[in-house]
Amino acid sequence: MLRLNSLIQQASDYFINGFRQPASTRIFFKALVVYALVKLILMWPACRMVLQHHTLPLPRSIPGKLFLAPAFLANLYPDVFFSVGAALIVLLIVVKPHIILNLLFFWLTFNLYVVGFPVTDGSDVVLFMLSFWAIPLAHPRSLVSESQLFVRAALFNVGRLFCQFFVVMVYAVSGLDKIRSEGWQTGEAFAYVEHLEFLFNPLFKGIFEYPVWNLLFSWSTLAFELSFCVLIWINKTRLPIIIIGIIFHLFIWIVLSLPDFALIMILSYLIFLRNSDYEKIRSMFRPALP
Amino acid sequence: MKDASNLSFKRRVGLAAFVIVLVHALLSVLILFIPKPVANSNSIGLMYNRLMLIGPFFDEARIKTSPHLYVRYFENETWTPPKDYAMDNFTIYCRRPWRYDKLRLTYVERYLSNKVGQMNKTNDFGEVKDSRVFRELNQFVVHEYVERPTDSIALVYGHSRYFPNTHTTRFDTTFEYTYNPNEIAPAK
Repeated sequence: MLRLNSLIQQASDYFINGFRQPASTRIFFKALVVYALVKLILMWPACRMVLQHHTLPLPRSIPGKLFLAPAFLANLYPDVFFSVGAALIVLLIVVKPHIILNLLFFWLTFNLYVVGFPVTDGSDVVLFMLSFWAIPLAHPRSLVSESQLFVRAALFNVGRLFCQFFVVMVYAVSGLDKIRSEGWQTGEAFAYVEHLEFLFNPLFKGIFEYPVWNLLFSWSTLAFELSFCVLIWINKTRLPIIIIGIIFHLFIWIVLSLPDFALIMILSYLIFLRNSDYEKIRSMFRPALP
Repeated sequence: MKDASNLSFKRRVGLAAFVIVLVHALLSVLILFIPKPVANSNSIGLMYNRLMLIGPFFDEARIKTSPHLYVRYFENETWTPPKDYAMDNFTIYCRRPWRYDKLRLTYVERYLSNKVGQMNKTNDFGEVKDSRVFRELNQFVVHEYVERPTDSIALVYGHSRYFPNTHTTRFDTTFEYTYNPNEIAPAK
């Protein structure tokens, strides 16, 4: 009982004893913001075209109308919505993270998902959910009372952990689905993938023709997705699994024409990095002076 | 006295954060292993499956088929050959990866065609052609693909499925309509 109490105490202390990995968390948030800007600019022409022919089904309730007010605006004036959205994102890139600005960022990414609904995919859901959990990822700007500081630190650390947990669950859902599916167990899934005419890059035609290789690719994918959920939490295996993940998503980007999903998943790994990892990277490029 | 009160508040905040994280983690793992229809029967399970446990993105059912919309129209007293415009857009993206908008255009076509396909299961064309979604599909095809005046358009939408054992592909038609686009009301 005493041991359990002590464990709970240690776990509780984790959330209130300072802001965890603040520099690395800020880099993660800025990367998310830059990604959103690139996405907004690239989606702009497609969404403008879609909105000429398609009317967004929007809610009738007053809270719904308020929450989706930018989407209502986009229905009538898509260019105004995208211009204001781009301006907000540029502001977020320039200034330090602030809880209100982060909230606006989530509001924008969610509305961007709604506006682009017929042209959105999984990467858009990942973006707005990460933006949601990232709302508390900001330091208090002005001096606040000690009790407020505890609350802000706890919110920051919970937000950071929820972002990490969200990424892990993407792999858990995917890995579990694959291990239950016959096509992935036999490797046939890769044969199907090669015949996905709107995803498979024709430059790589023929790479999934051999059943033995497909079996290997299939089980490697399964092993990566399921092991990621465990290895990312272990200090020794954290960086190697991130490197494998980057290679995995670059492969998906190029072979399966899913640039936005690959990029958001690679960027999401930044939330697992620690301040010391950046120091290591910096020392690799700037060796100690004699 | 103030220090003791601060310490007690600090502990309560830490404990609350820990409980929130623990409940979220337990719920996520629990819902992950519960079959989706069961989990989705209550609002918490539905919310978790839609927002917290997203995916799977490459489930077997989705990778077995590819959707296609073939478009023909009447021009100069003859029908043009059927054309898969989404495939053309995908080819443009493969050659010029910065044309990401072309990649996304295929999503619109698929979204509208799927919706029309669902209506087609239970309604005849007379009802389908008056629906908002068909009007949107028609306007999209006329303005973005055909791009010229015509009095007849033929749409064939379906899914091609690959069979690895025989290395063959089969096309299943979801709907097939020939109509005068000028008789369809504007979508927007």
